[in-house]
Parts: sequence; structure tokens; C-alpha cells
Amino acid sequence: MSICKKTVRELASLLRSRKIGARELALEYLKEVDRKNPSINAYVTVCHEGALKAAEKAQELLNSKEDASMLCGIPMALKDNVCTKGIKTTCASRILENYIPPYSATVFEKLENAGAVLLGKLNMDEFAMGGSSEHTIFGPVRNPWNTEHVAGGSSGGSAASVAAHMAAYSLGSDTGGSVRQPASFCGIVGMKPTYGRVSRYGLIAFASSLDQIGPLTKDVTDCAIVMNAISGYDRKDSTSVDVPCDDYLKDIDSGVENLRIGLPSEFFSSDMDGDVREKVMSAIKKLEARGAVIREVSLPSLRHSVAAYYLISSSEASSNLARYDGIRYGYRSGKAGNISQLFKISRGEGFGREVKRRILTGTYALSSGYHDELYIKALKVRKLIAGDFSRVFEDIDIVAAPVYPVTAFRIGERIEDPLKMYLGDIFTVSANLAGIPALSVPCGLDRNGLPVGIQFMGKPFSEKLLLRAGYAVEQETGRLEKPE
Amino acid sequence: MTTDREKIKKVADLANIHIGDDELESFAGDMNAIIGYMEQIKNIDTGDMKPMEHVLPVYNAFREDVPGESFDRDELLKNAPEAQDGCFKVPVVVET
Repeated sequence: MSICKKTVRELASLLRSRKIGARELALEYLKEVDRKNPSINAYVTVCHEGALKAAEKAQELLNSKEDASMLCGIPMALKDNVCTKGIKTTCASRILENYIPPYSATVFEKLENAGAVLLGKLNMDEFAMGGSSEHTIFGPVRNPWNTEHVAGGSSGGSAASVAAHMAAYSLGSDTGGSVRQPASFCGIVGMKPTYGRVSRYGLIAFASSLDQIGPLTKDVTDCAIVMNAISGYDRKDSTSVDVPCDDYLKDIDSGVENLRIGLPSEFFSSDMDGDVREKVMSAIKKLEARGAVIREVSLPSLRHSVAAYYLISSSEASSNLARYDGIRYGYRSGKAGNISQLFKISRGEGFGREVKRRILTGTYALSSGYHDELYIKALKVRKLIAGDFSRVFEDIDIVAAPVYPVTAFRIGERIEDPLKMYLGDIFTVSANLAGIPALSVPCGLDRNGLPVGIQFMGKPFSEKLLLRAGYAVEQETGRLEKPE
Repeated sequence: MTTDREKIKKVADLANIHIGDDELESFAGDMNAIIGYMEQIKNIDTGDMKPMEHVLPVYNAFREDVPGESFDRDELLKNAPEAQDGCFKVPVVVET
């Protein structure tokens, strides 16, 4: 077996027992990236030199520190909306095509301090807006399970890089499902933490009240390891929460006996592919056999979640993306005569079509005459949705649901129909609206051999419980491994 | 609502985005579908529900007023499309 197929936990133990050195490991991964990336298109920047330098530093840490982090010397990659000092961070947008951040995101600083080895930056939907990683100036990310299909999005490069063994783990961002959906499309694990659990400092903003950074990993144990490294309060993010972090790894294997799992009837009665339904239900049955208590629950406001989500996220995006003016950084059109034209033409040429649609939607929803009946109304519906979740969490511990109504669709299949694409987010957006944590875990393959994911959601700061449930699913279904 | 070309033009103007005449038609089509779907939200009974501004009880995040290190000006200007004499350079703002 290629060493790149190993999990973080396995690699950490090999590094500690000196069976492999950090530099050698980085070289193995870089070789894998150079070999596979032309067909997958997960990486937009590969840091050959930087990775080797980081590996040497990691080796020193490993040699000198008994208690070096489990992530020390482990090769990883970051979605290209996470700022990396001195390394291009493009958001897969023409407007930031040449942007080199003068600072690093807190998550990257934490990982660097732990001895992580950054292999490069990952392709994504422009500004994290999309569910297929097709809206990118670098061309679509291809699903390692079938390269005619999408890898999901917006963190498609983050998911494909891990699934294709081009990184041991990666980080993505999840505003409405952008970590969980690509993780499920590519047969790996993805977590969206509680809002405020992981610092957003240095994450290029899309919708600030919904965005969270989360890990994409080969298995649930690795997810816990990465969560342990990136979680925690950060004074540089004013929405970061000063609540002590759990040890996510501890007792991850303690099982699901008497765990009360709710199945929202609104989700399970909605349209989804037959194979997705069957695989998700079968995983739930297996948890039941392991002692979990399964109950049907009702979250009546969920049916409005997609409308509320797109109104709120687009409104926030229209405000957040106002900063791209072609003056302080980013793309500037050469066609403008005066300053007002400079803004308009630079933005018109610099943003892609989907980003423009979102900015226009948000601007419309915030404009005078529509502000109260669209934007404010959406915030009230958001409260209804959050209220629904708080109510059901009085009687159950976690909610189980599919991640997405279908498995990975074909490249090009949905790109011309934005509304259809939005409606696919029905199972994921509510966790962001309510600010609660959610985990996506592989639970089988469909008739075409494409991965299906199951999702768990819980109360704020219940990540540990979700990981326990995910671990139990993994014990039943095993890691999904694509046949070579 | 029906989003016609004029309305799209107006919204694009508010958003400071130039949209070419050749693109207006297709944007209007997309926006009609999107906004049309979102308008379902108007009919939901939210009673006297207050809008949700934060998902968690977040208040003002204060910190001690201690001077920290600032970014280096030349470093920041490296990302600017045009810079001169330590400043961002823009086209004429006040026309004479």
C-alpha cells in the first residue's frame, strides 16, 4: 500500500517510530500530487520548496519534543480561501488571482506551530459560492471516484485531494454545506464545527454569520485529531467563543448505546435518490442494532431553510465583497477612465457569473423596499429554524439526515440551472443557520459506485457526540476505498 | 416579481458591478427564478419573532487597548494594482 493512503494517526505513529522521516513523507506526497493533480485538478498552488522546508522543521520538532503534536510532519493542504502569509490565496477568483496575503489565518498558524507540512492550496468554487467546484477560474475539480463527475463544493479541492491521497487531510470552509457535501461526494469525512468554535481570522469572508472552517479527513479519528488542533478561542475573531474545548479523540470509540437519534420527518419525506435513502437508512438501522434509540422528530421550519439561507448568505456576501474595488489589492481593469468606472468595470470583469448572481441577489434583498420583507423576514425564519432545533434537542441527542439528495452529479450537468443547484442544499444549510455542528461520514456506495454520506447534527458544542456516532458508522461500513 | 432588464441594471448599479447589455437578458432570467423562489418567505407566519442576528449570545468583544505591531506599509502596497510614494494610486477623483 502506498504510504499516502495511510491515515493521520497511522502516519503519526510511523514518524514517531522513525520508520519514515518527515522529509521523505513530504516527498512521497509531492510525487503523488504531481502524478495525480493533472487529472483531478484539486491543487491550484503546489508548495514544493515550502513543504520540504516545513518537513525539515517538523523533523527537528519530532526529534526534540517527546510531546510533539500528532499533526507534526503530516502533509496537508488548505482551501484557497484560507490566508497563507507569502503564498498566493486566490479564492479561485480572477479578482484575487495574484493576491499574496501579508498574514496567515489563525488555523494555519496553529497548524504551523504544530509542525504541519503545507503541500499547497486547493481549488474551490469562487469565493466558496457553489456546490460543485465548477465555478472557478482554474477549471472544475474532478471526483477521484469518477473523473466525469464533480467533487462537490465549494471545498471540492479539499475533498478530492484527501480522497485521491494527495494530502493526509485538508481544511475547507462550510457556509451552507461546503465541507460536508464534497466530503460525502468523495467518500471521506467532513465536519462543520459549531459557529465560533474555530477561528475565522484569515478566512476570506463569504457570509460571516454562517462561515466556519472545518476538517476533511480519511476517517473519523483523523477528524477528531484535526479538530483538537484547530479549535479554540481567538481574540482576533470577535465571534469566536471562549468555551473550553473537549478532547475530541478521547472516548471516540465509546459507542452509541442509548444515544437518542432523531430523524426529521421533513427530511426523510423529501425527494432524494433511492440509493441515498437506502444507504442512510441502513446506517441508521446499524446504529439501532448497536443500541441507539431512533425516533422520528419534526422540524417544520426546515422547508423554508433554503430560501432563508440564500437570502441571508447573499445579503452578507454583497456587503463582504464590497471591499473588492480594484484599489488596495486585487484585479484592476485597464479599461476604466474615472474612479466610478474603475469600481464597476474591475468588479464586472473580476467576479465570475455565480458570484455576480449572489451579489445581485443580496443587493436586491437589502435594497430599500425589499429589506424588511426579504432580508429581515429571512432572519426571523432563521430564528424559527434555530428554535425548531433547540426544541427537538430537549428529547434527543443528535439528528441524523442525508448530506445531499443525490450522489456526485456529472460535470456540467447542473451549472446552467442555479436554482436547482441551490435546492440541493436542503439537508445542509439548516446547521449553518442554527449555528450547530454537523458531521458527514461515508455510509456506502450507490449503484454507480459513487459514495453516499450520512450526516449528524447536534446541539452547539456537541462535536464530540457527533464524532462518536460517526465512529460507530465507520465501524460498520469501514473506510470507503476506491479500487485502483 | 419580474426582474426585467431595467431592474437588473439598477441593482447592478447599486452593487457597483458593470453588466454588459449582452448579459442582461440571461441575468434577468436567473434572477427571476432565484428571487421568485425566495419570495415564498414572505408568506411565512413569523408572528412577533425578532430577527436573529447572532446564533450564539455574542456581545461586544472588548480587549485591552494595547498598541500592537502594524503591517509594514510597503508589504501591504505590494498587493495594490498601482501605488506611488507610499500611497494607493487611483484615477482622478475630483474632475476640474
